[in-house]
Amino acid sequence: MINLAFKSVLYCWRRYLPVIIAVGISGLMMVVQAALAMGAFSLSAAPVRLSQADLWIGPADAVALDQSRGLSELAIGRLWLDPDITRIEPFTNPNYVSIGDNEETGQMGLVTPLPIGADPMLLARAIPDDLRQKLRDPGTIIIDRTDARKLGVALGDRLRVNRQSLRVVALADGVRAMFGIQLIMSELTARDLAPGGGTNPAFYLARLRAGADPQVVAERLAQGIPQPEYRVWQPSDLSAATVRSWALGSGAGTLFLASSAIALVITLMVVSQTLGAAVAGAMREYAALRAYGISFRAVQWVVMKQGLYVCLAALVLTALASLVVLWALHQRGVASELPVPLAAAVAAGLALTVVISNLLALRRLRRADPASLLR
Amino acid sequence: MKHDTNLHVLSGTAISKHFGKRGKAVQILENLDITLPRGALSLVKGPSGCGKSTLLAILAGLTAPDAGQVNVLGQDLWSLRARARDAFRLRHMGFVFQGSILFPALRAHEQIALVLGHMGIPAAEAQERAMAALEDVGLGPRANLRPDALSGGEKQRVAIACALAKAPQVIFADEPTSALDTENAEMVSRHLRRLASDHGVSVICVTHDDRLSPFADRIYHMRAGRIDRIQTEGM
Repeated sequence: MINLAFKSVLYCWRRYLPVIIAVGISGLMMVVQAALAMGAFSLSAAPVRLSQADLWIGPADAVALDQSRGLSELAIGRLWLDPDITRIEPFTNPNYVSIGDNEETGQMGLVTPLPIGADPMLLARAIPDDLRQKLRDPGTIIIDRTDARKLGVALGDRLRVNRQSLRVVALADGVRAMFGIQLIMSELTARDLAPGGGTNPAFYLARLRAGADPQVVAERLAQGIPQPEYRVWQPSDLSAATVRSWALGSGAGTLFLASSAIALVITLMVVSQTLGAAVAGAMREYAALRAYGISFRAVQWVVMKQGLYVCLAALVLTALASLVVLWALHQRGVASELPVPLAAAVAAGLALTVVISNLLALRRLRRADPASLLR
Repeated sequence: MKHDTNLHVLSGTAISKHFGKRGKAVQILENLDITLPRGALSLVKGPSGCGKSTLLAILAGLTAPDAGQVNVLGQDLWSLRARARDAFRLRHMGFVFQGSILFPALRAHEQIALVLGHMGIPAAEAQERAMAALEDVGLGPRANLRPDALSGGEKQRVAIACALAKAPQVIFADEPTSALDTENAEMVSRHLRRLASDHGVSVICVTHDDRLSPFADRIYHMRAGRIDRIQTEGM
């Protein structure tokens, strides 16, 4: 059987080009928006991803890394008794400070105290030991390379933070915060910068004996105590829960979802108009097929297949354009991330708009009297 | 070969049709009777707006009448369900439209093979029949061309070849020559004539083009929604 749909899309490509462009641009907008949002959200879980802990322990009611009200060392006393746990390290939620000479107009900074002792876990993947040792001198900090560019400081430069002068001793990659500039420093420097403190750590990182199964240890720690004050997380679970909490529970996440929904609705309107025009352009030919006696379902299938080919072309266009834009963003140090399920969801959303637009266009064909169209 | 034109292939009885809603309704056809003989080229002529094209659409099973019956090959066309009526049209009827309607993306032979494919004819046979039909209308050498490379007359001949390849028993043609120059109009008229006399097909042709008249077996003259007179003398 002649593949009318494929031949029509190929030969009459000018007729379908506006649809391909409309779907492609909408797809690109959604992909970039999603990648930027996920890139930003994933920064919230960066401390988990960049650390080398086998388990994370937080308060029982905390559902994400940044939603802990603190957990006392007393509450995690049982962890010290577990034979498979070899090391425990505290993680404190960052303190906010002001960067610049003027506290009111300065940029927001986040103080992340880093243990300097042997075999540290926190941010161990991002800050190798040789860089970490540079923090031994009081008043020294490490910042992200992109943040340094943004602040206009280079290695060895000094930065005014909370009226104190701190020296940048190293630049690292991937240690950016979601909002503000992450300032990584020793616990000593952090205490000098923001005295007082006294708050409990938000989470604890635990290292296990070589060969110990984190799952088994986590289950064991959760058993035996009727209502433990703590909850034990696998790093991947805590990272995913933190990103999910930002994506689905925060104002930024709601904004992202709402703008994606609006983009989809606008795409639907634009695509249904352009695809409708493309189908209307071939209405006499379809009416002729109906007059010959070819069933409406067969004609419908031709139109649906045309929509499918148009959608495939648009998705290829979206994929290529997205790769270029995401690569350019990456080159500029902009945090972006596009998990496969999210990319698949965008593709499915676009395909759905094409299918709905096709059905709307077909409604005109169904309603049309073939005899009147043939005159 | 001359076919027995006393045998009727299609008859319409007491056909009425109006368009528009109450108060503004316009009666297009009123209690019209018509009978088409087998193997004849019949013309339906009349002034614009007299209901020629509506009659053709009702006889072809495209537009439902308000009242009356259409009997084709012994089948009451409007008693069939829509899907069965489609299947009946696909099997027994051919169409030649005003200003040929062809898919711009398809070559001449593909236009025909597409329709034959929907009739369930295997691809190889459909291709063979398409080529034979195009040869029959003198378009064999141009079978690989798309519509934009064909003249108006050639496009209309592709439509005739399509009708021919389907091997229908009735062909409906709506103003098949009105957009053509004299030479092409005559060529198309000859092909329609040949379909009737050589292939035994009943061809009913709505037209106001007098150039078709010399090729017709009978002419139905319409006026105000009725057959005013039937001309068979001197045909």
